[in-house]
Order: sequence, then C-alpha cells, then structure tokens
Amino acid sequence: MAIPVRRRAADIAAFLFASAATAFGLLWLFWILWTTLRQGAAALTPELFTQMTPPPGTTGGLLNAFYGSAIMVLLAVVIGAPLGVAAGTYLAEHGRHSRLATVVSFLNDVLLSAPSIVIGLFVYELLVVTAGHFSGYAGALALAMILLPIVVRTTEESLRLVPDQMREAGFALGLPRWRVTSQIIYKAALSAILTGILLGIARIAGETAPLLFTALNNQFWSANLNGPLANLPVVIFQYAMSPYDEWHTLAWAGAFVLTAFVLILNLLVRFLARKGTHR
Amino acid sequence: MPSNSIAAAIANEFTEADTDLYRSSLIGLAFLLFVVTLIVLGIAKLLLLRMNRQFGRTH
Amino acid sequence: MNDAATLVRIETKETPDLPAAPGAILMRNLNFHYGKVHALKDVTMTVPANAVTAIIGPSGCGKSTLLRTINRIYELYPEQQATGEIIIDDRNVLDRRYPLADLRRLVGMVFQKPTPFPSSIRANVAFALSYYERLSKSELNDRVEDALRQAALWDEVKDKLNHSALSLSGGQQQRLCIARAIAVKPEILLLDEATSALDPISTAKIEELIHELSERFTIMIVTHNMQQAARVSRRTAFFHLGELIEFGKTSDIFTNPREQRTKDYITGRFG
Repeated sequence: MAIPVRRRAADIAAFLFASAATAFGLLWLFWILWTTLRQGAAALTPELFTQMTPPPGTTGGLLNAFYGSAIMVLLAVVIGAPLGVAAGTYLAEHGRHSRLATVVSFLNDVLLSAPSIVIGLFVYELLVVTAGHFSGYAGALALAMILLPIVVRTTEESLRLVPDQMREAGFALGLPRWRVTSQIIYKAALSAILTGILLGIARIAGETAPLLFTALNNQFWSANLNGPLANLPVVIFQYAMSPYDEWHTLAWAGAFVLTAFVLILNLLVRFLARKGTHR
Repeated sequence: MPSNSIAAAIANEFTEADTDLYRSSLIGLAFLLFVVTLIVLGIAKLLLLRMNRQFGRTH
Repeated sequence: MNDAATLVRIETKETPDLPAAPGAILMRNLNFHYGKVHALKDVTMTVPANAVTAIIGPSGCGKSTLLRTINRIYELYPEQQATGEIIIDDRNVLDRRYPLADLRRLVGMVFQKPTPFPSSIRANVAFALSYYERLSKSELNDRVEDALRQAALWDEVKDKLNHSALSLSGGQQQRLCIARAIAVKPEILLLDEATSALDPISTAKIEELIHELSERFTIMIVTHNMQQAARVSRRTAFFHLGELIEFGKTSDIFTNPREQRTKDYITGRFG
C-alpha cells in the first residue's frame, strides 16, 4: 500500500524543518567557537597558561585567572555537591510523603531560579561587607549556592529513576534503609548523579555576575582565598570592556578556553551516560 | 535607543556606587529582579498543580 | 502428617488446635487496607511447611497483597495497613514488636521482575549474608556457591562470579534473585509471579527448581497461570475480591472444586 502523497510530503517537510532547526542551533555553537578562536588566536600560545594577567599595553597570560577559577569551582563543588546529593536523596527516598519534602522542594526551585547576580549580592552582604574585603571564599560560596539546587534536582531525578522494585528487593532481604540507599540505589544511579554534578560545574565555571561582587579580581598572582582572587569570567568581562588591544585578544582567548571547557565537559557527560546504559 | 537590563545596570554601576543610597538602590533593583522570578515561579507551580489535578495525581 | 494440621474450616473461621510445624504459616483474621480500599477480607488459612502452596485468582483479588503482608514489605508505604495475625514458629510476625530484620531473614521474597543489584554476581548473593553474619572470606564464598547450586545457577556462572549481574539473561537473573534470597537460609520463600516475565524455557527451569526447593522451604507462589499452579503446587488457595474462597489440595481444587466461584474461575468463565 503506497503512502499517500500528502503524508509523505508532510513527513519530508517535518524532516527538513527539524534538520534546519538542528543546523541553526549548531551554527551558533560553531560560530562562537570560530569567532573566539579567530579573535584570540594571537594569544592562544603556551604563554597563555604560564604567564599572569599583564598590565595594559603588554602581553601576558591568564594563569592566575585559570588558577583562581579552578580553585573556586573546586571549593564550590566540595561545599555544594555533597549537600546537594544529601538533599536530593532526602527528597527522593525519605521524604516522599512528607510535608517537609514539599517545602524543601519548593525552596530548591526558588534557589534554582534566583538570578545569579542576586546570589552574588547576597554573599556580598554576607561575607564581603562583614569582612571588609573581597575574597575567594565568598566567590566559592556564591558558586556553591548556584551549584546546590542543580545537584539537588538532578540527584532527586536520578534516584527516582531507579525502580521501586529494586528498593523492595533490598528491603525484602532485611537490609535497613540506609544500606539499601547507599549500597544499592546509589550504585544504580551513580552515573546519573555524576552527570548532574558535571553539568553543574559547566554552569558555574562561566558565571560572572556573582564573582563581580565576591571575589572581584586580582591582577597579580594570588593563592590567598581570603582576598580578591583572579578568575576567568571577570577577567574576560573587564578586558573586553577596556580600550587596550592586547587585553581584547586575551579576553577572546579566555572566552575560547572557557567555551571549549564547557563543550568538553558536556561531551564527557554524554560519554558517561552512554557507558552507564550500555550493558 | 540604548537601554539597560537590571543585571547589567547592577554589574556596571556597583563599583562606582559610592554613596549608601546609590548602593541601596542597586540592591533594591536586585530585590525587584528576585521578586519577578519568584512570581514567575509561583505561576509555573500553580499551573503544574492545576494540570496534576486535572490528569490525576502523578505523585 | 501435615495434612491433618492444614485442614481449614472456612465457614466457621476456626483455626486448628494442633501446633503448626516449623516454617508453616498460620494466618488468622487477616485484613488489609490500601487507604480506604479493603483489599484482604478476614483471611484465615494455614500454609503447610516444606510444600508449595499456590495462590490463584483474577487480577486484583489480593494474591500479591497476601504475600506482601507476610514479610511486611507493605510497611514501606504509610497508607497501607494490615490487621490480624500471621503466626510463624509460634510467634505473631505482624506484631509491631517482632523485629523486621528477623522476619525478613526468615522469609525470602522474589519479585515478578528480576531485580539484580548493580554489582557482581558474587556480591549479589553475598549481600544479605555479609549483613547478617560474620563470615570469613572462604566461608562467604562457600555459602555463595551453596546458594547458587541450590538455585541451579552455579554451573552457568562459576567462571564469572565477578562479572556484573546485569550481564545475565532474564531467566538467569531471576535464578540469581532466588539464590540471593535463599543464601541467608530462610524458612519460607515467597514467589510473586516470579516467572511471569520469563520465557518458557526459563520458566520450566524455575518450576523444577521450586520443586526441589520445596523439600527444604515452605514456598508460596502467586501465579495467574493456572497450569503452573497445577504443575507445581501441592495445595492451592483461590482468592476473589480479597476473600479466600477455597483452599485445599491442588488436585481437588482443579478437578473437583467445592465452590461455584472456584469452578467458574478454573473453567475460564471469568478471569
């Protein structure tokens, strides 16, 4: 039986439309990568990773910015990820029928949709004004507050994906709840939970607004978290708005590295997801 | 005509905010932004609640 | 010898005065509620030890609910409640004071969908063992081998004990779940539609397994497959809408049922 022409035409039209939409989305990704690569090419040398941010008019690197960003992201993960996994576990396992769980879930949603600049200002009032100076700790805290709700949500979703029968099988053996959760359920949901954390990292790596009010920036090398700390997004922001060409080039190079980092993280997530389900 | 967004305004002007009033008004702007997102979130939750009621509890 | 102890007089709801053999299950006035729904209505019956008892009936009649009451797995869900008595080895296991861990060690359960844990085959079988008992590594391995042999799975997996349990076929996974349940040496084994999701060959293997295991365990199987009940069990209970309609020797139930509803179900009038 031949498929009538009208349906076939509709099928082809839908396919073309979907392909065009995909191409359109990919176009921007490649355009961004290409533009940042082209504009920052002059600065994409090994010096980028070995030299500090230079004074205006000279060339240099972004080492202190990379370092500061890495430290703050790491600290944010150390603070936010375990807390997020614990809260997500509570929401998915223990609190299914409780009032408290509904409240926690709602508050999590509020934090998730809070604008990052608002979070930055909050930590500013909390840690910067009270301490009298900017600090890397404040920056890390702000990033942790952005990471936390993401991890809570993805952990909860991952745990809910594990079928109830697996829990019941664990309980039927007589195992107590915490063992069922930690020894069986976590293992089953592990790759999904890790994926959530990685995606959270990809998000906070590029957040600028919260760092503007917490860690600010530092032109010199500093490993002191208790003072202003250089970081990639703010450096890009400041250098891009400056009138100096060398700084512009550095900003582009930094933007390229940041974009590439996020892209690689996402690819890693895909790879992990495939490995998890491929049995 | 060039315009601004709340986030951009705060980001750009915060370092120049020297008086208390200036700083407070910028933070007040941030509060407004927060309230807007809260309202949108509330509407979204209400819509979800109504949908769930319509289609029966999912959980 | 068990037969005398297991005659149940349904009309008068009396229980036999003779003490039950170890591993037998005595249910008295068992009622179950899912919220407002009355799922099990005043069930009284005695499941004999070291034999297979089948529970049959149309969907929603309460068969799975009955099983889930015995090991109190329903307590995971707050709106589900059971009242009455279930007496195993002279103790009422429905009593709040009866420790759940003891109960779940006494009663093993296998579910419809095979649920191997995401670890190795060896770890799966040893899971509960290492929780309940302090065993040396070699003792643990011996117990794992013992359980796998009893579950008729040893030959197929002895070379790959450290492989992931998820690499096994459906029928093998289900036998693994059986091995996992019997590793702790329970007295009772509950099989809730354990072969429904399997192919005929795996089903046949497991039915054979059930037959062998019934010499050592009290086994209750829930099945919607009447032929399976007829093949495998010594006693059969027919449930309808939460009530125990008839309970007796399998051969009697299937060839000469006393109740009209039983007859209708067996002959396929409804189901």
